[in-house]
Amino acid sequence: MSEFIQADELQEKPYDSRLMKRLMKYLKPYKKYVGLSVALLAIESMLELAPPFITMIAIDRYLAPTGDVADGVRTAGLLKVAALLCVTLLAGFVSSYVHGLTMSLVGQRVMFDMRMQIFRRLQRMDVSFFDRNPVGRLMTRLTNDVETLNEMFTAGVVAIFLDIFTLAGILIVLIWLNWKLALITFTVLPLLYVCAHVFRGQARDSYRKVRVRLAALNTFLQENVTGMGVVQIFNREQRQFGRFTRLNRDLYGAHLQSIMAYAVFYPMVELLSAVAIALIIAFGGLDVMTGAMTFGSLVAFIQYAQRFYRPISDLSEKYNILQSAMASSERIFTLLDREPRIVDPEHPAVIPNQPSEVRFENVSFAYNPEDPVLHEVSFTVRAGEKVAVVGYTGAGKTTIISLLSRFYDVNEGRILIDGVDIRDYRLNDLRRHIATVLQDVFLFSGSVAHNIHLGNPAITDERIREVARFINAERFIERLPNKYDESVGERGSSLSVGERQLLAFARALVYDPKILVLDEATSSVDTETEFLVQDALRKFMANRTSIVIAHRLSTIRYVDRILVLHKGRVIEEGTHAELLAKAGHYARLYELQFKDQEKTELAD
Amino acid sequence: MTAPASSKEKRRLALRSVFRYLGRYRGRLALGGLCLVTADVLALASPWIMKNGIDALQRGTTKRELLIYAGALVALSAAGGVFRFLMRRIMIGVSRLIEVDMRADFFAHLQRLSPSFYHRHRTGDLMALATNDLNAVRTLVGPAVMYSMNTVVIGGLAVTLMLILSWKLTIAALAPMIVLTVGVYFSIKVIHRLFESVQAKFSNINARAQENLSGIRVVKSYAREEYETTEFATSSEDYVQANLKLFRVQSLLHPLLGTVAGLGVLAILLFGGRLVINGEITLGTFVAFNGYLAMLMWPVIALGWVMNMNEQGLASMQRINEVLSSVSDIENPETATTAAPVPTVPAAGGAFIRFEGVSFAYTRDGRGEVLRNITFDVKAGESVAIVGPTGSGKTTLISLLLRLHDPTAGRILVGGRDIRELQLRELRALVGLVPQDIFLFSETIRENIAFGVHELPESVMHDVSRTASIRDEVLEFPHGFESMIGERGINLSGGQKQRVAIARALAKRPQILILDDALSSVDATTEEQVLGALRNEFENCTAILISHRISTARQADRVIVLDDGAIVEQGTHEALIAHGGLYAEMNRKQMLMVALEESS
Repeated sequence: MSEFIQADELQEKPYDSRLMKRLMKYLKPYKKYVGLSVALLAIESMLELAPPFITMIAIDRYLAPTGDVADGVRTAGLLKVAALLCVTLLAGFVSSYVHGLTMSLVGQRVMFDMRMQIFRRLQRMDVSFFDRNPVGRLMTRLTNDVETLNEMFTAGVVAIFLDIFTLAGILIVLIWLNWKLALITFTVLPLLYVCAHVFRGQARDSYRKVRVRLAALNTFLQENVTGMGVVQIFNREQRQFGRFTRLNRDLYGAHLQSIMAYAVFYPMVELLSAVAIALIIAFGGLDVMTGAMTFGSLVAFIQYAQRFYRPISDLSEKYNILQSAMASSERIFTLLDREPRIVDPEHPAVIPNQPSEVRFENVSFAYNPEDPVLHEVSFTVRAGEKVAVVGYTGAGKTTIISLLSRFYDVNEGRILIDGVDIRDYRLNDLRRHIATVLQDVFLFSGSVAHNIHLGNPAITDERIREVARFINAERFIERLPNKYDESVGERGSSLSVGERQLLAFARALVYDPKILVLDEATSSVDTETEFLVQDALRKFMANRTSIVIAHRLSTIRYVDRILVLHKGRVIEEGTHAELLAKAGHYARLYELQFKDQEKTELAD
Repeated sequence: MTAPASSKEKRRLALRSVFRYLGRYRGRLALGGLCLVTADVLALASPWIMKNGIDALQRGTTKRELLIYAGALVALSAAGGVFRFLMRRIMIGVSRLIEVDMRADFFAHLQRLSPSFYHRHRTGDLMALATNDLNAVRTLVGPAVMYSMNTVVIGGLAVTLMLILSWKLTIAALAPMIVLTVGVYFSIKVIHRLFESVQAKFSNINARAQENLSGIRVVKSYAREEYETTEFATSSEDYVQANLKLFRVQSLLHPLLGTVAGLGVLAILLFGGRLVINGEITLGTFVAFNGYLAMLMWPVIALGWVMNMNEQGLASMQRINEVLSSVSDIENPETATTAAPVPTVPAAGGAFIRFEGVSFAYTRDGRGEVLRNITFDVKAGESVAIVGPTGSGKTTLISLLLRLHDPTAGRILVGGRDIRELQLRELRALVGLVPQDIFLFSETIRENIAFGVHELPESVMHDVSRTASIRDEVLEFPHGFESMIGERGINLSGGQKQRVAIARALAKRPQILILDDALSSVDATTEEQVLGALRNEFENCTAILISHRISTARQADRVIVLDDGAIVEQGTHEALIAHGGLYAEMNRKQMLMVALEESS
């Protein structure tokens, strides 16, 4: 299934100080919390060392000596030691709870900050970025990758501190208790290291496989859920299920490898732990017999040795978290470092609030260098003028619209609105100035009203109704069970294409733009609705500069001027009558593209 | 949201589902359980050996005896390790198998559900079920099952051994654990509730971001970035708050478990110490008790964790069950006896498709009827155009014919059979549909065209793509028909997508071809080309054309005019124009529009 391997599978370094440094910056606003947390951790690990030590004192002072100390003294001492242990436990409880709470707070806040940072960055990216980066991949950055980092901040990094503190503490105590025995015990460490190293390789490998295969499976699933209707109509269920089963099995195989790694690793650690305890009993036991070591310290040694391996095996587990966190943060940072190519100017000009003149000056553009779309396109649309752009599919009509809204920037030449290069306006000003009704209407899963006002509180219900009435959308809206509050379903799935287009018109109109841009928007509306829409648009266009990419005779007849676009060049322009009289390219295009409509009109 | 009784019922059903999945692997699980018990027994022997070792040390012993104790510890651990390996491999392996099964069941069920289900459920939500919730259930059937078994076995055995050593001390050491169990029990309930809220908030974020990114052009066109960011921040903050509420309880659980286990150590020290002083138990027993208590500590902590996982897993299972228990409103006929044989195409001139008094409403109460009492025939080999204003029910009519929905009244016959008596596969095999909204898969163009057939001979692929006027354009792509469509391949224009979809429909060699406004994104020249080529197809196949263009409609043998869910006229183009009804009116309006244009 190599075709599913994601391009964003980067190398997975366990640790990268550059990335880590950058990640740590996110902790900065919360450094007080982090400081508190680390302090509590230090206390916590000390407290964790206490019980074996206290037990040792109890054994050596009060339990092991039989004859030479009075029972009363021994019992009283025991009480004192128990009280100490009790205090230790309570303190441990409090510090552990407070630290857990603090760290989850920090983790959540960091995650929030990061998610917002990514989202903001995405909102600023230009359209060409979204052409190259599928939504699914961006979603992974925003949810899964951020979640992985959260895990690192809450469970991983902090637990590593705890483990290291505890480890160091145990080491010191053991050497202090009996340095010879301590060194003997430590001989197991190299073996443990080898064991962890092999495990690490296996875990990394299987982890990568799991990720890639899971991504492939989920991509497949998502697409099939979205296109389920097509699958069913084409009776493809069984074969799609077959493919799904293969992907599902592949994932299982990867999981199995990961299970093997863990299944071998844990018992190995336990075995090495047992070896260490055996060494302690064998060598420490001799010391006890010779009196070189107390009973209590032998028992403490055993208990410490057991605690010694928990942090090490934990550390190896944390390795996974760290590893995925590094991979996730690398992907997130790559995204965050992406600068939008289309940005606001430093000294923005002000767009006058009136119908504007639009001028294209020698505009050339290509989505990719080897495939130019527009060549030195020049034309002017005067303020309040209505211009139609006609041409075959692929002539570059839609590109003109995208360039005007600065979805892309021109490669050469410039576009002027009221004599000012559009790159000198603020993007928001520019886009508010222009209303674009695109060919594919995109609706958000909210109410009808929301899809008209798009969350702008300045637009009143009154205004929405007014516009809907104006654009003749009221008829179908009033027929919906909840009228303006009716939910349109995901992507407007409960509405017909025509209804969606009417909503898109209403949306464009409600923002009262000075320039109106329509992209074949009327092609899917039936004759009757189109009649009403054209009627409304006509009133609407009266005071606005309008550029219409038209497939309808009614439109090209209505506009003041027509631009004929052919293979990315403006080859003719003029009024309908002028162009027909010229008997050039337009006349032919007209013959082919609009003659049917004319025939229909003349039919009776 | 739901009544407590029904939520209890849901929980019971979720449990039953979990057990059903576990039941499939009961043999392996039993084997895994056996390994688990063996590993635990071997592990529990260690403190006992240590006890004997220490008692021996106190009495005074030999070096040889010490070495035997040490050797026994290593041997036990080695043997225990083998069984622990097997345990993990088998039990976690089973949980992954169950994951595979559940995912397959989930997908298979989704494939059976009709469009009305997909209208109610967002893709993002379904994906969240297939990822997060599935994972929660997997954790339940794997690690949670394994660790709870472990807890039971270690707990049972360790407590027994402790009782043998000293029943007084056992009671003292275990008392705190009982308090613990009660505490855990109550916190779990809260955690369950909080976790559900976290999951809901998560899928909310997911859906919101997905929609924003998919509609980024609209967002930018209307300069709504700020608003969208604020909205996203609100969802994101909701998620943070839900998480923090969960953590406030969850963070308590872990230290609580550790502390209560520590209280056990305290109890041993206090009471066990006295018993040692009184000479009731040996120092070895005292140390062994500490050892057993240490062994109990992880299972007790795991207990809290496991109960946590159980709750989360069950909550997720309930959500998954909601989808698995959704019944498709479109089903195959129940038994083979009622299933009619494949309808045969009547000789040209006979009625092939028949709508008989068909009515339809999307709402169950029948309000807001989209179609009312529709009756018409389409003869074999005939081409019929359906025209009408937006929202008049044209596309709905087609979805009824394909049984994406069932009519609320009346019936639809194909080849003389009620389509509800036909196997869905058989019905849909007859039809080649080019829908209004084109959906292509991110596969090669070849695979997309071959979507509805088992095999697509090279020549047929070229034929149908030529008919759809897409062949030449495809051959200009670097990889021709092998070009990938979509995110990892080429982006087709709207018109290209429509024509690929036409080729896909034609490749099925359908008896019935339906074009639902299928050339709306194609320029007139190309449309004429496609329709011209299709006319050959129309010769031997029944066709239904939905279009707004009268130029398209007039190419059909007959035109049916729909208005507000009812047939208002039908006949040939010429007859309808002559009739002077809605169709003629539509035609007239088009002319009026021209007149308006010319006067302005």
